[in-house]
Amino acid sequence: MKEKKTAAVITAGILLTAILSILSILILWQSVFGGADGSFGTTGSLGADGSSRKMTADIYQNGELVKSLPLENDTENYTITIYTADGGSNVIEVRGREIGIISADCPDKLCVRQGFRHDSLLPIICLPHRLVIQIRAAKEDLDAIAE
Amino acid sequence: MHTRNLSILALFSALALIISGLESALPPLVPLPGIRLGLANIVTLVLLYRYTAKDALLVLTVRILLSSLLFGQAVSLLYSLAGGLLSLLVMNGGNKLLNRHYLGLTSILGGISHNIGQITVALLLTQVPGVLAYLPFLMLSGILTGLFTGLCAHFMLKFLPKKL
Repeated sequence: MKEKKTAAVITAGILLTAILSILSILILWQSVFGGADGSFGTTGSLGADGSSRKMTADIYQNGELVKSLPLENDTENYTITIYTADGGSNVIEVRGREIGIISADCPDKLCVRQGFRHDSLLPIICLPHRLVIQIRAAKEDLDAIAE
Repeated sequence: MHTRNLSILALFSALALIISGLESALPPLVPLPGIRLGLANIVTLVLLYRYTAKDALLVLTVRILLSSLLFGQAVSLLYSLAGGLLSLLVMNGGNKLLNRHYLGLTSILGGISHNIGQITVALLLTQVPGVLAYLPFLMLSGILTGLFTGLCAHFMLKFLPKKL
């Protein structure tokens, strides 16, 4: 009979976790499509006030910032390749406001399947190569908002 | 270790290896890192239920080591190991607390803790706090896949010969 009580407690805990997860996913989404704080979860597309924000993509490898690329409408598409210490590679393409990994030699290719992103909701991650592409609002834009 | 025990554990290791091999051949459900069905967890659950935590630990370690060598995921060994060991620890605790009842709940706990272990390693390796944004997605998927593998284990236990 004792385990019945424990089971009820655990079920409640799991339900709470599920609700919290769904809530935080919704909040993350909200901060992308309705947020104006400019720091987290902002999108590169037109903001609520009709102006567009400048976005920057930071590429991290092993926790170190290797490259910062501006994401702007009027630049030509280009690719850069990031190599790991042991010879692995990720080919990253910038298409105007969007950035994504177009090919990689990691086994699961999940980074390629994550597609192109233009908002800072979720970073693009290649776990085998410890590579993270995090999009954020560009610095000067944040200053402009502050003023 | 008795020969009988040894052969049973070898059998289960082979089964777990086949399951994880098949799963790695399937395309990922969602293009988010770390979200998988985790079908091989069925074997761990069955072992925890029928045998001891030590047996489950042995089979889990053998399965993770061999599958990362065989299926070309040697780079993700660290993630699998962290997730697998943490989930085994939590599932063992849950199984004891629940007195070997409610296998589904134990499995859900395992799914959640597996993903927490994985994201912790990812956070340590990449050192980018933005990785944490994946946490709610991983928790939710842990609950759903945990429920699924728990049900699978429940049915497997039903049809597994009692003598084994």
